[in-house]
Formats: sequence, structure tokens, C-alpha cells
Amino acid sequence: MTDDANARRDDAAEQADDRFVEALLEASKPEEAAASEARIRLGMATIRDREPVAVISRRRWWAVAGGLGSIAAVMMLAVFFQTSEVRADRIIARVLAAESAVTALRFDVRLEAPDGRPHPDLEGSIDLLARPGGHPLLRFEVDRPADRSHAWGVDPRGGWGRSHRGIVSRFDRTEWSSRIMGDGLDLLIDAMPGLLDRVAEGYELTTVTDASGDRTTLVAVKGEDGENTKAPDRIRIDIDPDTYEVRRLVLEWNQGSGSDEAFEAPPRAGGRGDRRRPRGEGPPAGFDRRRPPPGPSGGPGERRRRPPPPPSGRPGPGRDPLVDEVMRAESQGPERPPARITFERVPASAFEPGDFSPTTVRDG
Amino acid sequence: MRQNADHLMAFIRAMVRNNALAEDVFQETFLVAWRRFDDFDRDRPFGPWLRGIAHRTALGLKRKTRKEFAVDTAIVDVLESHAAGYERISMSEESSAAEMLNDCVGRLPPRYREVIEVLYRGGRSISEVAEATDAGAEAVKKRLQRARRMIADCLRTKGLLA
Repeated sequence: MTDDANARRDDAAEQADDRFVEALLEASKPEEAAASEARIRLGMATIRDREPVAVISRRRWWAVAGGLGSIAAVMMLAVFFQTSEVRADRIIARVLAAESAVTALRFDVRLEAPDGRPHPDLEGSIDLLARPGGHPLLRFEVDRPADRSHAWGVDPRGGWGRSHRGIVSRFDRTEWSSRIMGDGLDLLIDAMPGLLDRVAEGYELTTVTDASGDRTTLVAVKGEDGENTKAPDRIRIDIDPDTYEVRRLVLEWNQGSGSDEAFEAPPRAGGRGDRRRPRGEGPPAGFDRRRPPPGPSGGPGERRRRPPPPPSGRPGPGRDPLVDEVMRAESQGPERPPARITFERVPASAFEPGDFSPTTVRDG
Repeated sequence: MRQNADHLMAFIRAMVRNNALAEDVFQETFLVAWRRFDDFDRDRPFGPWLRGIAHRTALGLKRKTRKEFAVDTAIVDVLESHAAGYERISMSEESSAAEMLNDCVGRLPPRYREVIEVLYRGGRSISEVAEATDAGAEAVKKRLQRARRMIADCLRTKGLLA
């Protein structure tokens, strides 16, 4: 072997040593355990439910069958869709890795009632604490409209609801999500990685980057397999292109048919579709688009201590003065999912599991 | 998947030296391996087969995306030997690669250990370390390189590196 060949071999060995140690050190970073788990989850989800090539093929077939006429146009479409599809996969993987390392989340939330329903829109905020090896804890404080403020939560014991009058009831862990979004939709109880897993599994994904490069949006459209389910028809996920954290999440349901049939899910014995909501006290499902006056900010504890406004002498629109009775009736939940739910990420402080337990607030 | 994820990811990271790209190669590798699993000869070890797919995937991605990363065959051959050592240790129950790495980092002289700790476990950047230590960025990079070389020598004595 010549001296040159020896030198090249030694150089390659030295470079390989350096790179491999660097890779081991990268793997030793504190966030790597969660990222590794997210990587595996995404890989399994991809294997289990998604066939990106099949989706691309279907779109190419559609483009041809649609008679676009120009071979160039078809080729451009194919390239666009392929790029977009692959890119969406990559973005999902990176978002999963980024979000898996985050345990405390806070979102401002707005739920818009389905068209033609008498319920006002709801506004509030959700605090969420992911826990390794356990279900996430959450607290959804509905602040608007003020005369219907109430809260839902999940603590280590399970689900709970606190009515406008401060009466606390215990429910199944997934109950609050089902009541808000219609029967059987528990999209929100899994925290962000769980939601993203579902999006990666059941939706066709494309990506949009705004002109400034300041925001990347994943647009997920429900796939054929989900057409008969009540899952959102479209999900928009705005992502920070640098950190890959989710900034904004919008879930939308089609409203065009004006019929409940569009949301009819086939009954599943013992499954979500078959779930019956327990009767009893639960927060009313109503809300408003008005912004409240500025209030205290901070952790869940601060907002928990904020008392609800005292009931007025006269009932508000659609509100029965016999609040308990109203809640019994409304605990049946909405017949249809809302038109839209928007989650805006806001900075979250450190939460403690105790922050997610219900607190009875009586009006004074 | 779980059993093979760590040594596969280490191999891919060492090959492409870019975390985002490594994630892409990892996902693609796993999908390809799943689809071609029937082609896998069960009499042969699984790890090298998986890493072979990763290597081809990285080359394909390099062509497709025009990303610049070196996948020189001579380097990849050595990386394959290192990854095989990592895989072997992962399968044994005596000691883990993470423990070996921790031990080797712990044996570094303090000024080298500090750079490794702050950069990889403290989440700081090279420029931040340079600023905090009043050293230039180049000096920090050199210190880092020397530290990695010492770690490599240490891991070789433990059988993790070939």
C-alpha cells in the first residue's frame, strides 16, 4: 500500500471516529430521549397507516384523468405534490421531535359553534401538562361569555367539570372533549404529539410556506378512510420554521350540508361512537366572541382563583335561571362538532400536577 | 424498530452530520426496510442490512436535495464498523453505550470535559461557550475536536469503536 493510500485510510478513520463520537454525544442530549420516542412513533405510524407513494400515485392519476392536457403541467403537478408530500412528512417528524420535548403547553382557544346552532361561541384557554407514562393533565377555562364561564379539566383522578356556579362534577377522562366537539372526538386529550400522530395517520398533507418564510403551515385534509367519521375535515398547523414548534392549530368541520348526516359515524359497539354521556351536572356548552377586559396572567392557579361573575337577576340569552337544570340538559352535549376550533399558542409557565385539580368556586 | 433505532440513528447522524437530514434519512430507511423486509436474508445480521439501506437512502437524498454532506465510502466503511460495535453493546446486558460514553466524558481533563458538558448537555452553542470562556470560537472548536478524539480513544479501549 502506498503512503498516499495509508494517509487516506488514516484520514478516513480519523474523520469517522470524530463523526461517530459527535453522533453519540448528540444522542446523549437531554431532549434526545423524547425525540427518539417521537422518531419511533412516527416511523411506526408511517409503516402502519401511510403509504406516501400511493397517495402521490393517486394524485398523479387524478391529474391525468382530469384532462389537464399538457404533459408539462402534469409533470409539474407531480413534482409539486411529491415535494410537498415528502416535505410534510419531514415537517411532521421535526415537529414531533420538537413537541415531544415540551411538557407544559398553553393555548388561547376559541370554539365557534356549528352553523345554525343557538350556542354562542366559547373563548378561553387550555393549560396542558404532558407526563411521561401517564395521560396528560389539562385545564380548559372558558372565560367568555362571562355569564357562562366554566371549566373542564383532567387531573390524575380523571375528568372533571366546574359549572358557572362553581359546582364540580366528575367525569370520564375523555368526556370534556366529547362534549365540546361532538360525540367521540377526543383529539385534544393526547397533547400535541398524539394529535400529530393522528394527523400523520389519517390525513393527506401538504405544506405552505408564507412569502416571508416566517411561517410554515401544514394543511391536513381528511383522507378517504375518515370520511364517515367526525374527525375534523381540515386541520391547519402553523409551525415556527426555526424551532418547529406549533404556533397555531385550527380544526375545521364542513358546514355546507346543513345536515347532521355529514357527521354521522357508523355505530361502534363499545367504541367512541357508541359512547353515551352520563347525565348529571356539567358545564354549559356556550360561548362568545367578545374579548374580555385584561385580566391577571400567570399559571393555572391564578386563573383558577378568578371567581366567575355573579349571576345577574335576569337570565341571559338562552340561559335558564335554573342553572343546574340547564346543565343537566346541556350535558347531552352538542349534536354536531363545532364549525372551527382555533388554538393560539402562548407562553406557558411551569405547571404542577396540583394545578389541574378542580376548585369549587361559589359565587358570593 | 426500538431495538435498532439508536445504533441506526448514530450511524445516520455520523454520515450526514445534520440532525434534520438525519431524521429524514431515518424515516425513509425504516419505510424502505419495512417494504423490503421479504428480501432480508434471515441468516445474516439485521443491523448491517439496515445500515446499508440507510447509506443508499442518504445517497439518494443527497442527489435529490443537493445537500452537501460527505458520504465517502472509506468513511462509511469505518462508520459501519463503529455502528456494529454499538449494536453489539446495545444487545449485551453488561453495559450500555451511554454508560461508556459518560465514563469517557468523565475521564476528560476538566477544560475539555467542560466544553462537552456545556455544548451537548447544557444546550449552548459554540459562540456562547466562546463568549462565556473568553476563548475564540476557533479555539473552542479545536478544544471540542480534541475532546472528541480523546473520547474516541477511550471508547476504543472499551470495544465500542472498532
